[in-house]
Amino acid sequence: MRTCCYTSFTLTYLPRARILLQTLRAAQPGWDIHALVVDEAPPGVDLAPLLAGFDGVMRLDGLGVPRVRSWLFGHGLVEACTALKAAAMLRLMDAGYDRVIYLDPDIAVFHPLEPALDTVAGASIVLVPHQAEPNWQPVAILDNEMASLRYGVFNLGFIAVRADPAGRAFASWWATQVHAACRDAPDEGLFTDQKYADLVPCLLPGVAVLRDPGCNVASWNLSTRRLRINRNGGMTANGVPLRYCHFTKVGGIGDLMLERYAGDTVEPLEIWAWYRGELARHSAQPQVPANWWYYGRFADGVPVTPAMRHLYRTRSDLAAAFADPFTAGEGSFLAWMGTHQPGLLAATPDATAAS
Amino acid sequence: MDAQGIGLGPTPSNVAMDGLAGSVRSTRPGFAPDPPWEPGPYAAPGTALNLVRPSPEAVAAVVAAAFDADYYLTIYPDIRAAGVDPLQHFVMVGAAETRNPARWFDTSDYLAANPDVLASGFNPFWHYLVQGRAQGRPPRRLHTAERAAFRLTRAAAPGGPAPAALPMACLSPASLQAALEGRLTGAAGVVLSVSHDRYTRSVGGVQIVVSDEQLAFSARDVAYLHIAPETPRLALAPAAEAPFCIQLTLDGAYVCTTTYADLAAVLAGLRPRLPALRRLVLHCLLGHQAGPLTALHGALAPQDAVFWVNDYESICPGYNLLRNGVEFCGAPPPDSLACKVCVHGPGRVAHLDQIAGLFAAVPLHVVAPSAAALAVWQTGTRLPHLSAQVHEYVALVPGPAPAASLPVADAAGSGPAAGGHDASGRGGSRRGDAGQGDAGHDVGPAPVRVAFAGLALVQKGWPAFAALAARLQGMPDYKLFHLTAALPDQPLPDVETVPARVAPGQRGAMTEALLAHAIDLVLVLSPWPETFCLVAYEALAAGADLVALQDSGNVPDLVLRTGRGVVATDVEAVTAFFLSGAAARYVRLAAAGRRDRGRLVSRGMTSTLPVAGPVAGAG
Repeated sequence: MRTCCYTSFTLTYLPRARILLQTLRAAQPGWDIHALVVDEAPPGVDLAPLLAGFDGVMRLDGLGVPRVRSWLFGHGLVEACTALKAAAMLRLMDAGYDRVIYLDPDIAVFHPLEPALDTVAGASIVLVPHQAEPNWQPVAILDNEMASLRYGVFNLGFIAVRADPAGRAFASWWATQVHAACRDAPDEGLFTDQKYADLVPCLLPGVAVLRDPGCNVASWNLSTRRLRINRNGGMTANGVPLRYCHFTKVGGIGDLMLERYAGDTVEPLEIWAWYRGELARHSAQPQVPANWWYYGRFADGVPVTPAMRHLYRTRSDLAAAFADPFTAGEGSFLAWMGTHQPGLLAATPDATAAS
Repeated sequence: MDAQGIGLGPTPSNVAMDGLAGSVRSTRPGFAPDPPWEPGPYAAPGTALNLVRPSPEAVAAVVAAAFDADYYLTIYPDIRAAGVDPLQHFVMVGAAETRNPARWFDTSDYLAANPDVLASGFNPFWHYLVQGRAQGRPPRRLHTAERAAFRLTRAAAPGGPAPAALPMACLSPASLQAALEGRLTGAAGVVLSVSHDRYTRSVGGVQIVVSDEQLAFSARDVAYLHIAPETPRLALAPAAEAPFCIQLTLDGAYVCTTTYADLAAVLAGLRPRLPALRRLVLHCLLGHQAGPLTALHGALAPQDAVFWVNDYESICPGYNLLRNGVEFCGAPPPDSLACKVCVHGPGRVAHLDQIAGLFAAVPLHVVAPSAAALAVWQTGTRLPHLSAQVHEYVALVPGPAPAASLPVADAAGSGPAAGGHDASGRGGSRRGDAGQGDAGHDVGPAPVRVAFAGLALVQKGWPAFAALAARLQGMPDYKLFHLTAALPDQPLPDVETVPARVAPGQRGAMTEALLAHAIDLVLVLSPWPETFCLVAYEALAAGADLVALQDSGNVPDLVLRTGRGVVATDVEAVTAFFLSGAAARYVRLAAAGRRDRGRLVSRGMTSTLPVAGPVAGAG
């Protein structure tokens, strides 16, 4: 069975993607690994050496998304990266892979994933939940169960799909949904591509929920995962091989959850510290500015704000009038805003506001 | 009224109060730490904010029931000195200064783990009592000592600083030859000894071993030439690193700094006139380079060369095999995941390459101070060697008080004292202590006196002792001591700290301190397989028995060999041994009628090993 794994990222996440590449390659040397780069290089930067090691690189214009720049303008960075996962999965299935696996770029793989997938070998679609055991303490329930209810039961940092009829049906349905609405809007019941996964076990056949505690160890389930580093050199979570950790929001809320739920063990601190060290090592020679995202700015450098994206996304007349809204100058969407929505332009303080 | 007005003494104090609860204030820098984390979607927003802000009186009323005034005054002597009410101080000032109201609650930990509480400004202990406990928020981080050790280990560059570039104040080759020639050519023999630092400057495990060895050789008129890198490091110097200075000591007297190359040239030049008895002794390779050591071996052309397993540096640059300075790793393969996440992992392959190069180039006899150390070494390496044997550093012999320096046993070694007991080791016979009181006296039995001997380090089992001390707090059966050369950062309440500094002229200081305080049990809870552990022998010499972990290498073996103490499977078993009262019964009853003491006699280290040429078939 030809298996490929891919990840989706912008260039500021390249150090994370390289850690994933390096660890996944070591754990699953037989898999092809592809990158979906939802970005363009900064001026003067050659991406080829930065992306060396990936078996293939997918770019925006190769995904078959209609009017992709117009569509992309309506989305923030996380929304865009997550929404395009589905289109990329369809492309990889079309390329002849029998099984396509997505992993988030902020994942590191430790022990091989294949043995865990073998336990659900008959499934067409494999989902991994944020949590596989209940919490009982109020704080842990607030941090975990309530978060799962809000952001999605399954973590779409991982999904494995076979290129069989059920798997293709899923990928097509998923791509349709996220093309229509892939937004970070939990108050509206939406959270990027992830919330849709809640429906998948109900809507489609051949779905398996992989509850292996060695998978998807992350801040959202550390309260129920006991990590050990053994004298034979291996690692375990709740007694089974630690397959992958999801280093979400390292340096932010993820650190708080680590502190809160590492409990009386030091191993999570060791593993997270290793990841931070690797991140620093891979970031040591930055060629990409810290806040870089090509699609976060107009052609003249003016930041694109969430309000501009919202306006463009919700006004079909604007989308029809400005096929490439990123352009600047006469006749551009930017010029139109200067005339008709000057308040939006006035509210573009600096580059960090872009998203 | 200001601080002077209430008579605060000259000792540093953070307290100023005028007797009214509402006007206690801190003289520490302002307490306005930046929140360590941004609030996020998983931070349980609002959980701490639904509370009505209490008055100081209301906080005090809630906190009073759980506040440990004795603990507070013990760990904060400035509060005691100020003579203020500890509860009032904590409520008005102490919490904001992140002082701890009880042993089991860490204010800093709680605020770090709960940014919503930090942002709310509530007294964190009050919040824990009225809300946080029910919500399942932990009152403190566990494994604090291990976490501290982990952070320290991660923060330290594994290799340490690179030595200063040449030229330093190195003696010229001609002057070096002049300094060495007379002694080396006129001696009965020449030993070239290698370790990580100048052993005459400090007292530690390896330094004691080298020092005793030098004295033993000197007594036989064997010249003892010792080299150490100018800058000590916790790893081998990289093979490709430029030449650096080494320190030269002859018969215990510092000579000069020089280079490997100059020393090799001098030794090669003198070789025809050197005595036939020549030996290379490798005690510790950290900070050295394997290549130049191989060249020195060639220049000296010794009759034999000895590699000591004083620690496990030949298995990993983490010489005590504590992964990230915290937990025994078992020396897994260098490409293992455990090594990947360990601070010693990245440099281990290059380190082992140098070690392998040295063992391939120099025919070595391997000597370990214990069978346990040799077993770990033989399991953890496949290095070629001529022979392997156990040679203890010291022997325990019956007799009175320890001496300032240790006499050397004869080549065969004086037989160790005791040791005749069945080696079950679990509750073997022990002495009673007439001075400690026995059951049946009107006043009841005196507490059993239990000590941790040595620095408060993870590798010596301090976290396990600290955890045990917390569990034993308030139990009348036990009195706890910490015998140490340096106070820990945070002394433990209810543990009496006793100065005990072993120095070159006071080698018996630890044994004397144990004797002076009539210690019954010494806990040696090292989380790694100790290669020897001198303090365990010092405890036995002082008449104390040992409580050891089965994974602590030579220590449990020593208990089993001597029948002096107990061996526990893990820290939980140690805790149960004390909490159940078994430890007290062990001292008072099972060990009644015996107080074995003794003195430690050096076995002379390499000086008492017969010179051996290459042994066919070994390795």
